[in-house]
Amino acid sequence: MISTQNLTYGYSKKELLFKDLNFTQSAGSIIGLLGKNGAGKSTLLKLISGLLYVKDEQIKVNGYIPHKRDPDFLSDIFFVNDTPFLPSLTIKTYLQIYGALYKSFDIEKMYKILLEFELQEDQNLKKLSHGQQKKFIIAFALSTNCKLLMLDEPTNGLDIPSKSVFRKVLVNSVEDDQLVIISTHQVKDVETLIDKIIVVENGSIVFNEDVYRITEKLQFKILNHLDDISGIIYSEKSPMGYKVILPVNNDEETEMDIELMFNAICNKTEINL
Amino acid sequence: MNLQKHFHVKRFYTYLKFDLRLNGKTYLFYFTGLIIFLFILAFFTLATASNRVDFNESYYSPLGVFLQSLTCVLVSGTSFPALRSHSKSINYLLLPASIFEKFLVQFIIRILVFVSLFLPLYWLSYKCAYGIYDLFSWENPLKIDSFHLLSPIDWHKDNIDTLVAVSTVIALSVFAFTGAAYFKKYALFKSVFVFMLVALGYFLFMVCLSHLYYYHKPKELFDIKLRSYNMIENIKSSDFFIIIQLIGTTLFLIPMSYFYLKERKV
Repeated sequence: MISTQNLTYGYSKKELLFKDLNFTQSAGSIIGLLGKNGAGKSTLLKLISGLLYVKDEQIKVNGYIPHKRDPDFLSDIFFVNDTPFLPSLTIKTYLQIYGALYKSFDIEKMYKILLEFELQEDQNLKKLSHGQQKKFIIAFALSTNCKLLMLDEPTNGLDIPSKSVFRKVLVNSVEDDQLVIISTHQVKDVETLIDKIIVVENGSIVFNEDVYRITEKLQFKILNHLDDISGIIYSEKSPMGYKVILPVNNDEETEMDIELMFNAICNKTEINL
Repeated sequence: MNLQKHFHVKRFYTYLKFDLRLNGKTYLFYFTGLIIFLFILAFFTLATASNRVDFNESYYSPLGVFLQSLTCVLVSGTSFPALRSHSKSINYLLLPASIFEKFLVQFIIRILVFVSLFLPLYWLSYKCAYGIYDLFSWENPLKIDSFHLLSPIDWHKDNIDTLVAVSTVIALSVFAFTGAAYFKKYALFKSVFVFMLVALGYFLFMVCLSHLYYYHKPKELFDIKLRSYNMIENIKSSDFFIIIQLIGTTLFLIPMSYFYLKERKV
């Protein structure tokens, strides 16, 4: 679905953000695009959606060159940015106006998600709080049934119950032929959602693995002390003792601690899977 | 070449309907505002006029052309309102319609529809203002000649003057339209500013040419000397030259504004 070949991009010619970036991704995953602030996550999403230009055919999405903004390409992607634009309309009117533009828009699915997010169709979008607006646009994005959904910091502004509803809704709404890329620096919010982690740092993809493979090869534990424990890949102090990443032994699988994993990657820990 | 990528009737119709439903109230609001403005202006002109003023077509028409140019620049200069902010731009550029269709919708609404609708609105507001003025017994009775809808572009002796007036209005609109596609913030003000610079540059260029070709004739420093002669019947070379320039500018700027929209980054 997405392939980049030697992607090179910078906001100025002197300072390149991405240099010779290569990666491919097919449909059927929810990807966590992680990275610190300014790592280039949003820029990568903008390049994939065609909001920014690169020369030649360095990026292809569904066989299209994004920056050409082919209408068939646009009708199959949806990009939710951190501060989405919503006109002063009621939810009902918005759905009538915008829904008509997307060929696979599913109104029933939309109303189901709205119910989960506790939003009513007669509410004016401009009068909603930032979190409610975010919930609405996520609901709309999911209801378009676009093949590629890009969510930039989707949990920003959501309260704790809404974050949990967001996770539930996303998992239930995404089909096998769709690809969802969630860009966030709040890694904990997407822990139980994603099935692949991509970490961007200084314009490079420094980590790109399936969650399944990570949990197959690594263990995430909390230990009281580190004495006599061998093979620790990464550890950090926590109020409960030490959070550690260890290689799997005895086939004992643990749940992935995404924050720990992310910190390990950011601290340039060598992780061989 | 797959032309459907650029234009597809059903998709264009859906997008046009989308734009009208989304911005319909705004368009209606501005049209109402314009009618009220034109009515007040016409009424004020009549109410404060001396009875020596002869309200015939030569009074009504130049004012119409001037107001049309002014309002067309305002309307065209505020085209592509979605490009004025970051989040609106993302929303607009990713809407599933081709760039050409998005361009065409703005061009039709902002230039073609508005340029065509202005004259009936102007005529209507002037007639209403005169009707109301006439209704009351003013101390200053005015004689207003009858004028028809197309008088502002049809009052000249020659068709060539009409063509100059229409070309000017369209060229100014397209200039402001291109500015709206190019500039991100304060597009209208920047377009007007650039227009003033271009006009100044053009004036100085013509002054230079005048000094170059008519150096033997005594004149002021900033004089422009034009040699005008009848080309074909009543068509003067200077008029012909102006029309060619206006049409040329329009034909150059239309694809340029499309190109700016196409190359827009967020």
